[in-house]
Amino acid sequence: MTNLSLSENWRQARLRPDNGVWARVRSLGTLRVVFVVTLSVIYASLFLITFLADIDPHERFRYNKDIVFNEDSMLAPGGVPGGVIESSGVMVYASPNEEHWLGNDERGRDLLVRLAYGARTSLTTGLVCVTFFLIAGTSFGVIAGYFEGRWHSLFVYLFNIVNTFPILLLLLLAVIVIGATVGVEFIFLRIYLLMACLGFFSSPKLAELIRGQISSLKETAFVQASVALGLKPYQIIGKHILWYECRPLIVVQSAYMMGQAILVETTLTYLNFGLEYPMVSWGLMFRSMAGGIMTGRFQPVIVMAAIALAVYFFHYLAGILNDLLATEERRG
Amino acid sequence: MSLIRILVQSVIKLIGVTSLVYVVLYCAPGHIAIHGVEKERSLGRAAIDYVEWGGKVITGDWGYYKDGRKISERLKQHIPRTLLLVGGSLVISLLLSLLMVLASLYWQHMVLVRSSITIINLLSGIHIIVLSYVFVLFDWARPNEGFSFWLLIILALGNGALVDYFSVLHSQFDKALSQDYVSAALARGADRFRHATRYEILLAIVEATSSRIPALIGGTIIVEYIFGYNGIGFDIIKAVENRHFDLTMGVTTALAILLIGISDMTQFVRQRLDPKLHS
Amino acid sequence: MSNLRSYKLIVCVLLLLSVDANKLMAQEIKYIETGMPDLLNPIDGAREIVGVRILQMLYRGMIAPNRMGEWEPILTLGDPVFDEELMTLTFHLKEGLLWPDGQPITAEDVVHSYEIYVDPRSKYGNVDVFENFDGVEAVDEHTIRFALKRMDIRSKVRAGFFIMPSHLVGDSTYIAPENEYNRILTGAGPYVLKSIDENHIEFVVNPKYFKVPPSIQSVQMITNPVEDIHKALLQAGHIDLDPVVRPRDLPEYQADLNVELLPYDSQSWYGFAYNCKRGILRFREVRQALSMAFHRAEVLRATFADQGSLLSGPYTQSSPFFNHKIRPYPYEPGHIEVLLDSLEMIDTDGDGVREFNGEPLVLHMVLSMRISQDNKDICANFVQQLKSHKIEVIVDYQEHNSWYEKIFYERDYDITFVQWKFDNASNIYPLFSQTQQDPGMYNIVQFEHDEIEELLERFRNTTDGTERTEVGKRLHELLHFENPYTFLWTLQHSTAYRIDNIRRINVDPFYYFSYIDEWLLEE
Repeated sequence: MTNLSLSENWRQARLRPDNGVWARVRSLGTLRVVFVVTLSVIYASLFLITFLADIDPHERFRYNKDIVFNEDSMLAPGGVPGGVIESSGVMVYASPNEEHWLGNDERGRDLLVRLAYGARTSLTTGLVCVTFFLIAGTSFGVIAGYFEGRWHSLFVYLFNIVNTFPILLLLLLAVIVIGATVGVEFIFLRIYLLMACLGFFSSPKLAELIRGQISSLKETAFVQASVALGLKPYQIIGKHILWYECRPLIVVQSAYMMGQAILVETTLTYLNFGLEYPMVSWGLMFRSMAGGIMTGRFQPVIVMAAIALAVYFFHYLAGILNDLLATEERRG
Repeated sequence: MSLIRILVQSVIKLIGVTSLVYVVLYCAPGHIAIHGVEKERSLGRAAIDYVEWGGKVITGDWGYYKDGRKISERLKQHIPRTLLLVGGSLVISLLLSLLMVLASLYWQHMVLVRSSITIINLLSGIHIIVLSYVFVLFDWARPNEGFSFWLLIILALGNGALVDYFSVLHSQFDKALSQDYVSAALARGADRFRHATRYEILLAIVEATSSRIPALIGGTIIVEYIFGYNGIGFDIIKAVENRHFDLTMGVTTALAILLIGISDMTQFVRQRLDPKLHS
Repeated sequence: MSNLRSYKLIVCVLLLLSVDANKLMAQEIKYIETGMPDLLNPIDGAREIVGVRILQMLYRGMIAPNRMGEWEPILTLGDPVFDEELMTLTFHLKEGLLWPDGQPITAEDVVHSYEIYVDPRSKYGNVDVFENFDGVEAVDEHTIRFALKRMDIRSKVRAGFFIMPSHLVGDSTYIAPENEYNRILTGAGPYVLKSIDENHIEFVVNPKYFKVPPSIQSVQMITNPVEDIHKALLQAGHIDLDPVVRPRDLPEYQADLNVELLPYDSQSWYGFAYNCKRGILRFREVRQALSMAFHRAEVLRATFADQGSLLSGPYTQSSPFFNHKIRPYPYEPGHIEVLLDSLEMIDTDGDGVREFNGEPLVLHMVLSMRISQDNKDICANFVQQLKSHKIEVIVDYQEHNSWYEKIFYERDYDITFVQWKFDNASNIYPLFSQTQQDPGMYNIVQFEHDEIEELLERFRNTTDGTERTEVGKRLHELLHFENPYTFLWTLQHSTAYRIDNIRRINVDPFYYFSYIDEWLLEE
């Protein structure tokens, strides 16, 4: 038997399209994977840039006659690209140019820079939401699934009640309490507390799913065998049920929750109950530029697209992770 | 489960929800406009005041808002307006999704049908705020004026519900049509629609409707804000903006009665429709 | 035959014209606001500018200013009469004045209205205007006599308050929120309330209006908190009028041939208020430094397209008390460093924030969530510019009610953003007098200064016009120097209306609808 080198192995594998990476990609949906991978790279880059580069997202720019605009850029009356308030010299709603690749917003700030900082804020607040979602959902789900009888009924009862109410209503009640309780010294905590509340209020959905899995797996042979072997309940639940069986479920729900968190942050900020200066977020950008939709500005469309793309990103990421993890289980 | 038992459970849930919200708002430090004399705020005091408040609510005294109007009167006017929106959205979404499901069953080979379904799936991802602005942009939303105003608010609100209904109904129809006896009937030339309309479809509609209502109520908050529409969503915004305790509790109680009632009635209807649950 | 045809043609034309005339008679206008006060009686409604506009549709006082700013009789027969010692002021109401329900307007209504304004429970913001009145009595059905504490020929101006029907308000001199009068709001103005709810009011012509009734039969007011929507609705023709247009929308309205813009002086000024009894804001030099740290000219240009003018003190340029020798604080970054360094406010640890007495220089700015996006951006600019001078500002957005409590009652803030609107009286006493610091009163900056206090009293009491002007100018100078506010600017507002529906529109800068009975609908 010929002992092929690594590179030869790889070349041979490449020539056989049914094996390896490409087969996996095709099975998951090529477009979907490309979309998710591309956006992941973009988000990671934006994240890094905002930390490493010393750029002020609030800086307003003035027209500089050396700036080159695209020939087909939108021109306001008077020949000044995009400018609404020409007399100030500030680049209000300016078209894309060589210094500001996506143009400028309604206050002359760089749109791309603000989108980057907005991505950081939206993703950070989303992560806080998902963290609490996971902790609360898993804990409640495990308790409800493990304990039988009254505890089980109580938790199911509580899940039903929380699921009955609109999340937005619960969050607005949280706005009142957090606004009244959190002092000005910890003002930066308010949005994170709100996102934590969002995660907490949404956790019954995850808890229900985990509870269902635990209840259905309790009587299976492998669990019975684990009990017989003397494994502790936390070992059975933690490793065998949560990690091996519920992992796809948890990961998928978390991904969906990230998308939801971005939408909720946008909604709360639009209603003036969410983020404010000095933070930068997509919701804040959308609120201040929403009127531009009605005057044909493309900048609000870009912000809307960024939000929509992020939601689709997490939606498709959830789908891919679900397929990947499910396939792994089948193979395992 | 009997109707009476469901009613009792609903009351218990209602007390649980309202007491929790009351105590949290009451005990939160800082300014929440509590109607009446300032009292020392403690958990014990909150419990006593809750009972007193509950007694007043039962007798119809829900307090007064800053404009001197009774909160109960305000809610009596606003809740039907919101229910009209929510009901209208559900009806329109259901009808449209039924249309889409039928189209996909009979004409699934047509590009037009498949692309319409894809477009509607994509549109459902559009945020309700954006959709509302688009309606205003195209000069469709006339303030407080007639049929077009209502229709467009309802459509903006029902956008998200459409896809839910479609996916639930589509899967139920598929499931029903995959039954052996239905395949046999279809082979003999029977109409697929007639044989798919079993109680599972009704059950699916009831469940999808019940699960969608909380999200629609949440959506009305945004739609009523943008269109300046006097409903309970607008009241919620007012309550939060003013940190008005009585209005907050009034709105929460009214919505709790509505939503818990709908949820428990759905459970009752489900039991009646689903023989497995019934037995 | 041809005669018959001509006759038929004439009849058809006349019929068409009569149809148009009928349509005109029933015409209405619709205007839009961002919100509405919860209570709209003359006391509570006057706290917000939207309320002031609505009240002008419904109410009139015995006297009112005309377009030249001169006070003239409205419901009275000629000017009021002083007695020989100039210690009483007597008004005679016109005969035959009626409320919309047909009841006569009497002196008792005037007296009762005055008592409501001065009742402490009413908490009327401008109660100071009645300071010189020592009581009022109804001499007979049409005669009202005010007793004065001292001679003051300007006292007649103080009697321009809105008159309410005592038979509808009730016996109490306090209009409680539960009072039914809040739902019927009847006055002597050109319009009466037809219907009112949380975001919609309909006015119809007052059948008993004392002048020629307005030609616009019905006015509807709707509210929408989203200002973006206002423009869309006006341009689409679903509303006819927007009383205050955002500067950023001006170019689009200018390009719209169906919409006309009418600029008017806002008679208000905007400023950052400093709590003069807290922390480092006790030092005048710090307050001056904060004013110098803000590049107001650039922000005014960028945000409001220069539709306004910078202020150097509490009086606007159109005021007779404006001191032309005083210039607004210039933007001088170098001078700020000197000022703060002289107070030993230095960044000793290199963390980018100055310290004072070992504590970092951190100020708390409390803002209402309800302020417009433009004003939020201005505050953001201010904070950023202060940051560049190593002064940290924490911005705390509060729900409006909570903000109002913190600022007007608790004074729990360091900096806040306010807008003060003035009628022709230009009365700044409530804003700066030491006596106006109690909770609910308007000296929110807790300002105390002996010389300024004395000048404020002189300004209020003097009857000599020249002396008053001199005192006013000195007040302007001193308040500029003491700087309890960063006096930002006064803006020029614009109203937008559809020319295919309304013409001959004329607005009062403060009350707005003062001349609505002269507006005409487009034929």
